[in-house]
Amino acid sequence: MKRTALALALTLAAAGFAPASAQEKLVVQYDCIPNYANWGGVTALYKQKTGVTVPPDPKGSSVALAAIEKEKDNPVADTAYYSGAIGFVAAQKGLHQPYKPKGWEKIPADLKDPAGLWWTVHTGTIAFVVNTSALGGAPVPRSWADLLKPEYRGKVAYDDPTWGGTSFTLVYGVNALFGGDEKNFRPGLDYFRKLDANVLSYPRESVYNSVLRGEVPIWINADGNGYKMKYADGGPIEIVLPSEGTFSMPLVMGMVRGAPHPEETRRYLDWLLTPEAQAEFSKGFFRPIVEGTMPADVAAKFLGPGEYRRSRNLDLAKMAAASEALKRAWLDEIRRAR
Amino acid sequence: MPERRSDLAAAALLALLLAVVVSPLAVVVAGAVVDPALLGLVSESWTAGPRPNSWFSYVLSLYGRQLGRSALLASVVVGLSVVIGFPAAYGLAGLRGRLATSLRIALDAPLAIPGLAVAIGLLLAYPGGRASGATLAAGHLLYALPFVVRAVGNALSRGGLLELEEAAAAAGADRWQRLRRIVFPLARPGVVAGALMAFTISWGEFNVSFLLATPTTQTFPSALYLTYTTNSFPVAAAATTLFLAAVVPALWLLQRVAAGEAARFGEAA
Amino acid sequence: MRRPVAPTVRRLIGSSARRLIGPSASRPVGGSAAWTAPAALFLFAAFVVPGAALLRAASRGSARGLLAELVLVWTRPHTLRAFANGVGLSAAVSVAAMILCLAPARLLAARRFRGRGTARLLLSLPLAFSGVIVGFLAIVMLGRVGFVPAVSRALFGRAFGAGLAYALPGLFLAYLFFEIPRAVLALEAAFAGMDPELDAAARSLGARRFERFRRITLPELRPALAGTFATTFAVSLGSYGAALILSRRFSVLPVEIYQEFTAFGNDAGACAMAIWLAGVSALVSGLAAREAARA
Repeated sequence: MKRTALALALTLAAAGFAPASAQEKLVVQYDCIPNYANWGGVTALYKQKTGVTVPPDPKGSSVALAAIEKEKDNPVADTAYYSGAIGFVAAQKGLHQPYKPKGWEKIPADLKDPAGLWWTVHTGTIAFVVNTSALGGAPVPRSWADLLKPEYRGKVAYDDPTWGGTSFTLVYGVNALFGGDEKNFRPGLDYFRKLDANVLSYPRESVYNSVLRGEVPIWINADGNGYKMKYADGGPIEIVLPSEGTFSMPLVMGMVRGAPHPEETRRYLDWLLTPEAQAEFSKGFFRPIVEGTMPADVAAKFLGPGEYRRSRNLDLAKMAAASEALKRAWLDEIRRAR
Repeated sequence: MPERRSDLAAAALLALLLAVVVSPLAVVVAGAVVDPALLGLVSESWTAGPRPNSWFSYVLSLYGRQLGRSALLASVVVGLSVVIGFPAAYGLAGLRGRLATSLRIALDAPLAIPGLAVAIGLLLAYPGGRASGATLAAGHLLYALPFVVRAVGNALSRGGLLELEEAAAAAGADRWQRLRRIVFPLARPGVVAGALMAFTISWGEFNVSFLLATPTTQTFPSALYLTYTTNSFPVAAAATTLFLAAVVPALWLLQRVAAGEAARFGEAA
Repeated sequence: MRRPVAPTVRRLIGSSARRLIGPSASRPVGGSAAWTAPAALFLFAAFVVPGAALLRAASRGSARGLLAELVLVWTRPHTLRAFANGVGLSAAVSVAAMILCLAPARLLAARRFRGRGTARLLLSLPLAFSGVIVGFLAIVMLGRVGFVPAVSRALFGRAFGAGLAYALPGLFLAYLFFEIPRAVLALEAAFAGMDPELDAAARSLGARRFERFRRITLPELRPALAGTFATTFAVSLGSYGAALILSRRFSVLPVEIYQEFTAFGNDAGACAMAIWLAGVSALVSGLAAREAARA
């Protein structure tokens, strides 16, 4: 019995480490959440094509930023994926090395750093992702104001913005929408204080599958994750762009200074801008940054351009400047409120 | 008669405890093999590659690496904890006085310190030790070692080590002969029990691992976290079942070989 | 379980042998201090050095040094609240676990029945699970669309327990889940070590059950109870997974540490709190060890 167990353990160990010992090719990407922006599909495809492993990593943007800063002298990550403002902060803090991947010229100028410290790989839009079968008879909310109604008590979730970048964009954007700016957080915080009465949880982990199961009825997150639930997973999901307006969000990458696998990393970052990879992102319904790479059948499933007209762009530099203070303010006034 | 009644009450309470502990695990294990419609939708839309025919092979295809890594790490921790723990227990058996007391306290001390604090300390003290997994193994070992030392120490004192050794020494046996003929045989049940406990601790350890592991040294409990956050319920259920498949035999063996040690295992942090 | 006689006899023989042969210093038996060197070295490298690193990191937080930083932690009201939350929850769970597990532990220790080993095995399973997974299990069972509400809706037409996982009772149950094995196993060991004859003697003298429990069982169990409380309390106090996953507002100190360390990279603040957490846990364990030694 013991010998069998030992043999089994050794076999498993060999299975786990054999490729690693045979100089397995690796690229470490912080914030590589398999069901966000179809990273699971993208990294699986890359593995299939090149044999290079990009392991999943559950960190949100801000956690990735903090980890890379901590590991400055002993870098672990090769690259990281952030929502725009947080990537901007990482570049500002000197945590990235310049690299301009192949296809650089196809990225619009305002969505990349001129020195190559960060660039956009795709964009998303903040939306309500609503599981219509979990609303308990309440109508689908259409606006930020709707979300405050008592019928949504305990049904709303948005990620902890000190963890994830998508939620940081949400909090900054709502504040701007209601008249705040990078110095004045009052309008946004007032809104989120009121919303707190209806909030089920502030997850620090992906709740993609919880939304599909109906555990979380309304998730304020990126539109693409909702479309994927609806079209790829066949869930009873509706995507709502709130009537008062919403925000588009560039999702960016950068190459970590002192990346342990520089050659592999450059090849990987090049590949992410190829039509093949860009189309794979769009299967997760994030809008590819390289124009003309989104398959027509995918494009047809998005809400109409009329809806997206309500989406505004946010100034990444201003967001970055406000990031630490806004995250602190949110934490103190919402999560740590009495 | 009152004895019977109090036994019945105790049995009812035991059943309640079992229900609290077993029902979530039963639901999860069932979720890995039956249609999980009761728990909502299945969603797996990873695009590359064909869909495997069971959730178990799917989990292995996604997280087989982490499973193997945990098995290896647990083997290393078991090995090291015996290699370090056995001599420590033997040494402590011969020591008296303040030195012995402080050593005993020092060995047990990690059990009183939350894994989070230990992990942060290790991370700050050895920033370069993460990539190789060395600090990870050290963190596991800190929590496994006390159990090995205690199990071996108990086995030695139960067997009457000092008296037997003294008698052997009086008969002219040298250190090596005493080790081979007396110490090793006496220690063996303790080593087996300690090794099983070290395995269980390392296999399930999360608090230290979560902070110390990198994407390339991630262990299976971290993969378990990934399945609960980024995969559908049947995948998380299958992963939990695989996780339990290693824990149950280890705990069962522990019961068989050393019920007394199993009872003390409750102090595991 | 009766105490084995053989070792006692051997010890008697051994001590008389020692008297005959002379002090054991001339013929060292048992390992010497040198045998503990690998363990001592390992503890120094993996426990003492990291502890010093914690202190150093905390002292870098403010120009006023370590002590100032350690005091400063408590000027933030949320830290104090999180600490109080943790102490309250851990104490409540520990007491509840001990009360619930006392009778079953005695049953496991004193009676032989079919399925005893299986029961003990099943009860010890939560030992292997981290708090985070326990949090997810709580959602699976008591979430908005959890198993319990789904079953109760099917049976009684009402979704009993829906969303309970996110409220305080859910967190309490999650903590109880991983404290049950610790309490049961420790108390069972204590009962197994008790002298059954004392109780029998008291019974023959006509003492009532409650009286026997109060006068004999309880005093004998005291060190074990203290030890069990210390273990369950320290484990609960140091656990962050369940609260991290389940609670919207209710925070505990480890969650605050985790938050500062991983989301903000605030090493000094995190380390100062970690030192307090480690200190309180060690203090409770130390007090329990003293209580156990007194017996």
